Amino acid sequence: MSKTPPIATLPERGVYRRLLRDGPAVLGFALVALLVLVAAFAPLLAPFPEQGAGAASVADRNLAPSLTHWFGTDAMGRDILSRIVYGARPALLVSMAVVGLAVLVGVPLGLIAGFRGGRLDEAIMRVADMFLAFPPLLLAMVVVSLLGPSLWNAAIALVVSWWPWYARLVRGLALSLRERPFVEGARTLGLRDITIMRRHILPNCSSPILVQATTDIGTVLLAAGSLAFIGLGAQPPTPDWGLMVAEGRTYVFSHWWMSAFPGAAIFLAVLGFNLLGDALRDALDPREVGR
Amino acid sequence: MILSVTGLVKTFGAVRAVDGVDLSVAPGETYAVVGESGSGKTTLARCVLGLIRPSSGSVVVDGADTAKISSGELRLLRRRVQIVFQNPHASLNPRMTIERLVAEPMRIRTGSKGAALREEVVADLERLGLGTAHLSRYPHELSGGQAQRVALARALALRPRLLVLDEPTSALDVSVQAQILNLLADLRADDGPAYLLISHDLAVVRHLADRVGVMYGGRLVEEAPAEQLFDAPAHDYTRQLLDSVPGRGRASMDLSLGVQP
Amino acid sequence: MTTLLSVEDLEISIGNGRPVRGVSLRVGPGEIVGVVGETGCGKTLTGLAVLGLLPPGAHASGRVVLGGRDLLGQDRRAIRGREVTMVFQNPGTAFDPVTTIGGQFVRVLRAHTGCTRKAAYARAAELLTSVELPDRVLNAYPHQLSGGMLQRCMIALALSCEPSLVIADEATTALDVTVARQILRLLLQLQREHGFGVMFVTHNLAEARDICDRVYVLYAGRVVEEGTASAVLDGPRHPYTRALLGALPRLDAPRGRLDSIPGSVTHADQGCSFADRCTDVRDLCRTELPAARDGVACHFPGGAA
Repeated sequence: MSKTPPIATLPERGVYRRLLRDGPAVLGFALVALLVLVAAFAPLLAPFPEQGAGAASVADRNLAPSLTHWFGTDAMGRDILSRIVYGARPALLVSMAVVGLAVLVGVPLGLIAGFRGGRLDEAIMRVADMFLAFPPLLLAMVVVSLLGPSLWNAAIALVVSWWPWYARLVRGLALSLRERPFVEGARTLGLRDITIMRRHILPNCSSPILVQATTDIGTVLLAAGSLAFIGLGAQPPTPDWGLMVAEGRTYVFSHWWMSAFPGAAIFLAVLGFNLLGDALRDALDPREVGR
Repeated sequence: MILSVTGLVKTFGAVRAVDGVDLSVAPGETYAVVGESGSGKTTLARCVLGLIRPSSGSVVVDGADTAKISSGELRLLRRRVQIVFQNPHASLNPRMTIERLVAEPMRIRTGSKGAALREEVVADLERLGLGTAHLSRYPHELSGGQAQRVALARALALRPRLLVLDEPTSALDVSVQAQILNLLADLRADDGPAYLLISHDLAVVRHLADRVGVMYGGRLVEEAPAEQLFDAPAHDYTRQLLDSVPGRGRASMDLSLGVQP
Repeated sequence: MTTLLSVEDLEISIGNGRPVRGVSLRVGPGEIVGVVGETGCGKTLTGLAVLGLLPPGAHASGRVVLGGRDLLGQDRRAIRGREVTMVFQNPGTAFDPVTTIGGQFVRVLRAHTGCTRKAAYARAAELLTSVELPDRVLNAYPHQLSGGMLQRCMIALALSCEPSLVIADEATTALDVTVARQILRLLLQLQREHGFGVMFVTHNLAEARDICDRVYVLYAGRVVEEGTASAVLDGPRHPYTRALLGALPRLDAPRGRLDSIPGSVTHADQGCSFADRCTDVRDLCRTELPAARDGVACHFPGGAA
């Protein structure tokens, strides 16, 4: 119950210093950086680039891990390491696109709901609740049955079920910021609501949104993998990690490497984003939000 | 009159936060509303600012009745009444630099851009005792007194006709409070706005106010010119408030009176 | 004169900062002693150091002697709540929101005395009566009570184990004026009945004048002036005390400009910390730290020419 020390810093201050001080954060950052580098330089990093992209090599089918094929080959003779390296691209692209679109849809709706309140708030949030109540897999099946199975249709299905989380998050923040003196002050300046939301509310929501989005990239990556696994997502020959796990599933007892390595890739990627998200949360300190 | 409040009532559910208040403020005048928490003084201020609509009664600002105009017109009318809050740091957007904070209202009034806008901002800040060194700082880098000067600069940039001061110095240290009170007195002398001072600190009120209204339970229980109110309080509650002002020594504690819960 | 609490040359450092730079003060049994100053003068930290409640990372040196024992560096859990207790500024956050007032009294009383539940309740009711609250408050949750009532509860809780010293840190700052007055009266009245000593930490000079026997004025981590409340506050000799009193708007003074103190608090490494803001500053002030003489730490007290 002592008085809080008068250190009211912007959350961004010293973020990097604080991030680097703790081990899991460094690991998370390293994993995500690795993923991004691998995706960016896939053709240079993959030992068999054309196989990574999908070319079969019937002579080398079902080879166990060796010095030539570190992670073995799959049923079509493709080098699994190369496939994983290439797989980083759709994994990253889809999950970032899904989260990006969910933010783009959810944040403005949440802002309006929280700041304006009343009937508009009711309407927006009930719609959001509806989307949240719908099982995402079922939703994906509906979308896919309408548009056909593909990586991007799976992404659309995920956006549809993901935006309400952002709407909720931002609504809550906007609701509390609305009462702050600096927002009331902005209203007495006679500013339009849209200006107040853009200039005074949104910038003070950015830290929690960033934290949520980072963690969500991992979660979406996992969900996209699951959709591919059950055949509703990426289709062959796309080098998709979820699809690779599914393809290797039938051989899991005799040729474990076919599923194990792509599975491990998913695990490491999700872990990386989760750790990074947690670290950002600590470093940005949610208590400081909107200060 | 800059402000005329007539028969103002504001209810929240069953609670009558403001229960029939009449008051008016003349140009250049300082009218203090004195009261404790729950007296309705904050609700009164919010009605005057047009942040909430009264349940009944009228608030006439600069000749325009806030109840009879559209919300668009009300939005523009708000610019003639500005506010300075108690906690200077909470009243400044933490993500904006001092320059942006003051430029925002300044641009609304003058329509200037770029270098011209910057000059206007600097001129106003200097008038309030802040230098150009502060322009690129963020609110958390300022002391309480400096932040309150920025809040004042922001409120005055629109050249309002009425400035609502909501406990403007109660979060500040004594020495800083003196600076801000002196500044407020100077600004008023300098063809500034009328003040509606909301405060529970009677010493501050005595120092600044021309007229005082004492609020209790949503009503004005006494209204008088400042000298008269402090020299000869008429209402019991006013006397009780005056008796509560500390600083007259141990003898004034008068323990024989007992303590009412 | 006997001494209840004596703080000798207390220094507190936090990281590279030294917010408290050698504070010495004394509280006699049954004496109300004001520790007054503005934000950052070190008054709150001094109070916390007595209780052993300094924030993590803070290091204290010097001596804090209570009832003949040096407390500094020792575990003060056994003493806290019994011999020394604290009344905080914000009663709203000092109580557990999901436990009734009675439940919180019982928890504290049983922890300190090991008495039965029933006995604890009876004692709690007794304590509430002493702060002039009805018994039914025992069944109330903190949010159902006003700030003034909660502050009464906190005082009652602070007195539950008959402490010899109560530290009140800005105990009235968050309250309305009339309520603050009642709380001050209550504190004074209880002090007369029970005879405990009070360390009254405040920024409010006017309140200190009303309630304290003696006051210490702190500036930048040092005591700049001490003496009886009336001597210091009616006839201040240190330029800082004078400036502070001149800055205070008063009911009984004519309107007009207040004396403000230019600049802001700086901790000087050499000489007097107030030198930069002092109107009577001389060369000596900037080079040599003034020692306390006759209760004033100033080379030229009273603005002598």
